[in-house]
Amino acid sequence: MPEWAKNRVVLGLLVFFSAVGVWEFRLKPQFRPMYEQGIVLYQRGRYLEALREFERAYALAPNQVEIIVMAGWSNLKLRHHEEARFYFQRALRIEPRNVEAQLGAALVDWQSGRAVDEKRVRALESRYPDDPAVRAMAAAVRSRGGRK
Amino acid sequence: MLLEDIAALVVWLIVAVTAINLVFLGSVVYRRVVRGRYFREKDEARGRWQPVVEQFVRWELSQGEAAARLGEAKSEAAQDAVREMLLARTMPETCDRITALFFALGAAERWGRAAFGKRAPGVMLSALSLGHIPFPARQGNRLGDGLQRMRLLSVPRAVAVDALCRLAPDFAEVFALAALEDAAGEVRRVALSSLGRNRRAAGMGPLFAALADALSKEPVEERTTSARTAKAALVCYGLEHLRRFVPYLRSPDPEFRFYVVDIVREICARESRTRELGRNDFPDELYEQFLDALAGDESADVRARSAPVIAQFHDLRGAIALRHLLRDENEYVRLHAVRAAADPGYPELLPVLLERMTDRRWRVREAAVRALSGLGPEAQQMLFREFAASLDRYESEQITEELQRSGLIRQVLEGLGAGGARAQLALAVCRRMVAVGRTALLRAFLMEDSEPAEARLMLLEAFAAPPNAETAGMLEEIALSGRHPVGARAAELLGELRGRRRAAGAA
Amino acid sequence: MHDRVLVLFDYVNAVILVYFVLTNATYTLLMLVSLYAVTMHSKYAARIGNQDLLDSPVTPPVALIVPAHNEEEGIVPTVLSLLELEYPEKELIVVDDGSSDGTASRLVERFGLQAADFIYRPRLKARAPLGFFYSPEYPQLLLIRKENGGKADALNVGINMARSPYFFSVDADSIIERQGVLRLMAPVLQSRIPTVVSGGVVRIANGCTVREGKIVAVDLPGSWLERCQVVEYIRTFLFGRPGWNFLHATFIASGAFCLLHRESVIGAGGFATDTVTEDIDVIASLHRSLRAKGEPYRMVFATDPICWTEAPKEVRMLARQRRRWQLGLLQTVMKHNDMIFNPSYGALGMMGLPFHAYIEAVGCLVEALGTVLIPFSFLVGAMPLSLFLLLMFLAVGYGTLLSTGSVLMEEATIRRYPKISHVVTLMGYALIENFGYRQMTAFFRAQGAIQYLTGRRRWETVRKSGMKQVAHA
Repeated sequence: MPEWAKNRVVLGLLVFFSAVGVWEFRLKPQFRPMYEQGIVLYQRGRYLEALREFERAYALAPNQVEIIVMAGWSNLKLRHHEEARFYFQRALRIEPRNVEAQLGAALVDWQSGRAVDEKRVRALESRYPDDPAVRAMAAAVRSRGGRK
Repeated sequence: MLLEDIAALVVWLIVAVTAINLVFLGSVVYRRVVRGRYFREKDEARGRWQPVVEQFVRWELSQGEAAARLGEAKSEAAQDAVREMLLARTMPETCDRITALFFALGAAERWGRAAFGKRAPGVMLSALSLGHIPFPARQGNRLGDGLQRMRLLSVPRAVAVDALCRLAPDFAEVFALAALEDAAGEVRRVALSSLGRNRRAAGMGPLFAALADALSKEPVEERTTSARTAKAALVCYGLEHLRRFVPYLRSPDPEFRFYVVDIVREICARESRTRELGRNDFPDELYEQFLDALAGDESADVRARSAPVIAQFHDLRGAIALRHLLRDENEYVRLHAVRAAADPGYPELLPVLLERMTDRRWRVREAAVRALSGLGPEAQQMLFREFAASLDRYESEQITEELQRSGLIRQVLEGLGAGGARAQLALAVCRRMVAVGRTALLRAFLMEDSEPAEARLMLLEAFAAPPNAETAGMLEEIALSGRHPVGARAAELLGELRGRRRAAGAA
Repeated sequence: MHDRVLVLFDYVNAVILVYFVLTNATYTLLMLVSLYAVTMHSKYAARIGNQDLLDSPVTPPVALIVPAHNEEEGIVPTVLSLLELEYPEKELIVVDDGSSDGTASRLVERFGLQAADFIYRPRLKARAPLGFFYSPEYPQLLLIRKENGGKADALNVGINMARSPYFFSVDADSIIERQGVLRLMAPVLQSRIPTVVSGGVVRIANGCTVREGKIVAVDLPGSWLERCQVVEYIRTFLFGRPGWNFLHATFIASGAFCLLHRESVIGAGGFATDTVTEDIDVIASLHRSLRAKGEPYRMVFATDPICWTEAPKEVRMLARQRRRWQLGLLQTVMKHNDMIFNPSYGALGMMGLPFHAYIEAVGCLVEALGTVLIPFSFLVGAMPLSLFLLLMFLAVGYGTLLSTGSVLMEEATIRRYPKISHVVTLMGYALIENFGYRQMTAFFRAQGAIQYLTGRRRWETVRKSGMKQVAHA
């Protein structure tokens, strides 16, 4: 056996790094499979089932912005506006510049008849002029406001 | 954990740390301000009450008057200043009055409460009766003792005991004896030191008990003090107390006997620094104990430490005992006996000291050489002659070392220029030094132009005969240095040397 | 690929988080323990003096061994101040370790030393001396010249020539306070258990007024770098070492000011030359040797004996110093790694050495990595803001508490800085040093660790400018 393999400093470090790794990758509940399953279901239009998957993933990783955003979209598809607004607002608190969350929040306001944050939509449009969803949102906001 | 919660947590943590930092800063500033005020007050108090203390010490003020005036010192700083001034003036002729003043001021009572807690009234009463009323014994239990040993509690007690033990010896003794029962080693240490300082007969028993406790093989406890502490206290006693040491010299424990003998040795060493001791300075029982029992003790350490004490007897029996010890089988006994025999009062032991210069142990050789070099001109001459004639390398090295350390080499080098027998002896010593390769000092002497030329020329002869590679190299170096007159002479000697070699080669 | 990177970031962040939590928890424990121990000790030491030790014949002699290499500027004042130390019986052995300047000649000239041939008994392996210098007018002083062999080698030569049962290793550019040796000896004499090591506090002399080898006025240095080091030293010596001492897990005693039992050190093989921090290694060796013999022993750290030393003034020199210390620490923990989590070494094996190995020795790599990775993760969006703030708090903010706590302890105990402005300044730097200085030293330490890992083991010389001496007023 080589000397370093008997060295307690090396062994201790190996134990430590392994322990952290085991926790991170094995013991710590993993949200990703649920999240990915939710994406698949969402893409197939099975929004209720997708929402359930996203909520399970959210319970494990409540700070993962991608999960929060998809939970928001799922609720929006199901016309659960209050729940959708909660998720999008949360996502924006974590990542204020998240495009999906900004779009989602604007769409929730649009669909529920609330005043849309036009500034935010204009800012999105100027940053992402080629994004079709952004352009559609911007057009909808302008049309509601009587502008082209 | 939600990120929003983490954010809130971080904010609270930052607030908490900032608050604690501010508290620390505030504490630091507050403490500095408070301490600054304390020292200012103390200085003021000193200025205000120093005259009162001086008047009191000079008997210009009665105790009542002094107490009334010094009692006005109410603050901690002022009381500390008064305490320090009074303790600084505590001397054998003033200690009783000052002690009475401390009692009158209530300081002794405060210290007593701090030192003895519930036992304080009993201890104070015992002190006031000068020990005629015994103080109450301490009731301890495991848990309580453990708590009492914590420094948080033991340090203030130790400080209080230290103050009490600076009072007049009659009182200090009672306080020290009471403090010996304390659970904490720190407090006991202060008490033991005080007993030693006061040198009272009643303190000896507890000190020896503490020594025995420290040497016992029982598991170490925090309560126990070190043997050194007890020893340092016992060493404070004087020759007049040695009679009381005798029973302890008969202890069955050899390690304990060793310590007691060593303490006696230290006492004798201190006393002998001011005057020569003799048989009559020692009680008969102690004298007999040392000569009859301790000089032949089974423990080598005891025998070794007995030698310096026996050497103080300065009589025939002492000399005989030392002679035996000088030839003891154990090296440490011989070592200490040699050091003890380094005494001008034992001229008959000089030949035995000379014998020890060829001892198989270097420490004994070193001690023998040192002893002889310090015993005056006659012993030094014996040393030089022995060295010059010696064929023992180790002995020669030892003597050379001592000649250098003691500065005797200077005497030798000066003798080179004296002429006659002295110069011849000096030359013989130098030759021997060259033979064992100890030439650094000699070389420096040769190269130093300010040294007498005759001596340097004489010294060159030592390098020339018998020659070896090293000495030849040295001669060459001196010859090349051009120093006058040794350079020229060295060149001559070198020439002769080379001539002899050529002749030997041809033959 | 992006996912894998994110996963890697998560893992590394978890490691960094655990490291900082463990480090801060340990330091907090040490701080609390030290606050208690140091406060109690200074109350005791302030009131109960050392006069008994000075007057007592049972106070053993000590040898002060001064290894010196190219110290011609400061060696004479150092020797003078050491000769004037208040101690009943001492010998002073200066070992000139192959100096190329006038270190030896200055001593010879000042003290009238002459070449002498003394018997050299090499109980410890070391390069043989080239010569001895001595004067009967200064019988306590001995100068030994030898070929350059490093500090450890020089110390071993000094130990071989010493005759006292205890010895000090003293740096040639250090100044010990007058009663410093007595105060170091006090715990040795007062304990029933044989005390083989007694360490004291090292303070920074930069900014102080030095006259004839003595500190006559204490002041703070002018530059931010030196002031940060002042705070750092206070932190190390007032709550690192006393804390471990209280827990009976002493692993480091500064070689600049440390009393050792000569026979025990000889039994442990002396100072080793295979590490660049021989002072740390000798402590570990002593533990090993004495445990193997099954003898009871004690190592103590006292906060009242003080030694002043010069700290590097330039960043470059500071870097060299810290690299060397880190390299030496790693060398030592790797050499003595079998003591880690070894119950036969008691608190040292179960607490002290694991801490020094994982957190102090290796942890600097984590700390240096974290200093880069945490902000980077945040900037690339791989870490939310609040988590970033939490980690930064643990890495930086909490350290302010530990540093200010140290200054509080200094104020509560030793109080060497006389002015209130000093203390307020120190408190300020206790905060400042955590924002930049600490990260910088973490990098230097990480460099030292990398040096070890890559096999570079050379000694980097730290040049000091020498303490400015003022003439007599």
